[in-house]
Amino acid sequence: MVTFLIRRLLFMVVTIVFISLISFVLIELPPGSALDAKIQQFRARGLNVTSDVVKGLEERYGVNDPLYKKYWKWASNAVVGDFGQSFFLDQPVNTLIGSRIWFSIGMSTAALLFAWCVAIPVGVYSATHRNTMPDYVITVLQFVGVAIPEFLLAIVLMFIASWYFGVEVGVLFSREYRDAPWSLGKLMDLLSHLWLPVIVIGTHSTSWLTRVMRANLLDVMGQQYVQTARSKGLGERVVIWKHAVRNALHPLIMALGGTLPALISGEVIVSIVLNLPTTGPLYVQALINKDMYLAITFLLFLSVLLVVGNLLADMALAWVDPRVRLE
Amino acid sequence: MVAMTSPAAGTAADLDRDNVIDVRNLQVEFRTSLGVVRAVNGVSFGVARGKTLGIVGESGCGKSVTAFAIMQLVANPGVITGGEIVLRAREKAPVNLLTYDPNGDDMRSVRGRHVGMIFQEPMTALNPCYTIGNQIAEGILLHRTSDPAKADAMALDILTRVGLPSPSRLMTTYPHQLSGGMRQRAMIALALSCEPDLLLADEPTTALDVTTQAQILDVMRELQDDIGMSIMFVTHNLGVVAQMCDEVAVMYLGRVVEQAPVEELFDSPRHPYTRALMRSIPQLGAARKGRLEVIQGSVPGQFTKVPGCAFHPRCPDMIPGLCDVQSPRLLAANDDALVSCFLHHEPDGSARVSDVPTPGRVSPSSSSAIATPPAS
Ligand SMILES: Nc1ncnc2c1ncn2[C@@H]1O[C@H](COP(=O)(O)OP(=O)(O)OP(=O)(O)O)[C@@H](O)[C@H]1O
Ligand SMILES: [Mg+2]
Repeated sequence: MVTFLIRRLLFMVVTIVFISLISFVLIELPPGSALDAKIQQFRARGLNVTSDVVKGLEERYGVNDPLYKKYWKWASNAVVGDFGQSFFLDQPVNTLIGSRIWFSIGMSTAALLFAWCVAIPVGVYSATHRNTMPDYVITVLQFVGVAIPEFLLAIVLMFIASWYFGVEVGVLFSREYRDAPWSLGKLMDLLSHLWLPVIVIGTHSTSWLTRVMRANLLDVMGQQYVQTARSKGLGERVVIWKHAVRNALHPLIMALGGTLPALISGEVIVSIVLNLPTTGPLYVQALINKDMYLAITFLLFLSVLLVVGNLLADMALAWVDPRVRLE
Repeated sequence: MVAMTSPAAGTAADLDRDNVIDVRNLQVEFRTSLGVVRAVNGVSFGVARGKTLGIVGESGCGKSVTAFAIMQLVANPGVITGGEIVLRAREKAPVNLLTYDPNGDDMRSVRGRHVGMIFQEPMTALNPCYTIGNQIAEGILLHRTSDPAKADAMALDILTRVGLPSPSRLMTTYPHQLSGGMRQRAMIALALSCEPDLLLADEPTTALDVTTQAQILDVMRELQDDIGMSIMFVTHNLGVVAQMCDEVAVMYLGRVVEQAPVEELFDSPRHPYTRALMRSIPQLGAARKGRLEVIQGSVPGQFTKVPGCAFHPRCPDMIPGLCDVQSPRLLAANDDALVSCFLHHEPDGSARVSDVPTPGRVSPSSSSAIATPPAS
């Protein structure tokens, strides 16, 4: 197990370096730089930016350096935790992201938990009541859930929440807690605002996972060992939850790796629509402005999340299925 | 023999003896989207206490479905539509299992406790997620004790008795770490952990090699004597039948066509289908070039309903105007054999006097489909 973990960790580092390289190149690829946007900004304000000034700025920020030099400059600082400066917002990337990343992680995790807590029981119910009315209803809802775009769902839910329930949307905290220090009250307040984005982010994955759960369970229910369990005299509930579901979770856990990116992209969209202070809107802005270091740092964090998520999934799999443990 | 009043009433129960289980006129249908499949269409047989009944018949004739029906575990979309399954277990009043709710506590207290079951595929019959010890103890905890430590001790005891090496280590082993033969032993241990009165064995050795097969059969026989249980042994292998069974029931298309003691069945098969079955077995020493005899015609489609005797389209001795019109009943042929054929009974149930062609003796020891070691 220990060697397995070490091997996986090494592999993770290689993956992350590789991802950072590729994203660096991709962000650099389109013409123009953040400096152009900055200069535009200055000019718009009526400042006279001479070509000398431009040259000076270009030199200072190393805009015309070759790619590998830029990458090295950024990467060597990044390993010690300094991710550089945002061109556009004139703030260190660390401060910009640090305040928001926890909301993103929290929201994605909550959405994931929501997806699992709904998908497993609903999928089990759907499979054990195959071809009955509730199963058909669940199936239709699943297709809707998979098909509906997140921004639309966000808008509809936002409307319902504020119109019918008078909930304040588009914020994470009520006014009185906004600048207050962390307390239990503030946490509860956060949770009361969090459910809406969490549902929006999680709906897609929930629907999909329910589908996967139903199919897996139907598959497992046809297995001989389920009949063995029944032939011992076990009750149907034990047969399903102890003997069938545990075996059906296997592909669901493996699907975790695929669920995470979906959750993250969902989080970006939802946060933009609901105007939430997570990393999502900042990330999109950074990409649009070619705000190099900000964008790459986001990408890096997302990849780390992904890789860590996959590792957790593998460990969960080993816990659920003894056959994986020994390899 | 006196004429029976209700159709298909003649069963092994009429053989006047102590049966652990009596299945009478059992009907199981599968209501599929393509139509209704009558998988079991009036099966009747009985298993004598402490004895082994072999069930043989072509693939798809309803052997497995019958076994599952006894457990009331017929898979969807199957439904038991009629008949009677009377269980006479020790420590339990005789009861028709079909009066129990399939999902109810009564039926569940029979499963595993009074009737155990083992399957053809040892590779898939055990849950890959739990240890052997856990899976055996689970049943014991349900029926025999509520003390986990005692249940573990009992599980260990039964694992030892099925002849598994280092049983205490096996308790914490997962199924995938065992070979097929070991898994089948573990499965037998699981099925016998509550010392049932009846063991339903659905082709338990088909997936195993010959040596392992012989060992498994030995273990089953030994434990049968220990526990004093009866076995219903489903198999394709007539060699295994000769070794294992006291009696044989031959099934064709969801019915029992003949039930007889094993020597009698091999010596003088009564039903034309049984005779054809015996002739289609490879004979040791028979000319290499000689072709195996094949039963003429083929099994009718699942959804077709054959009028009269189900075997008549393939029967060489078919009596026109009778066999293709009326269904024969399963009636006593002598004190311990039953047959369902108009060659042996008049439609009114009285024995037929005219001579029935009797084929030569078929030697059981040389008649296995797969080579098996001689019966011990
Ligand atoms: N789930 C099912 N759905 C529809 N029909 C079924 C189902 N299970 C069994 N049957 C029908 O029941 C009939 C008997 O099946 P069964 O499994 O009892 O055969 P068998 O005698 O055990 O054959 P084998 O020797 O191949 O195991 C088959 O012909 C099949 O058409
Ligand atoms: Mg079968």
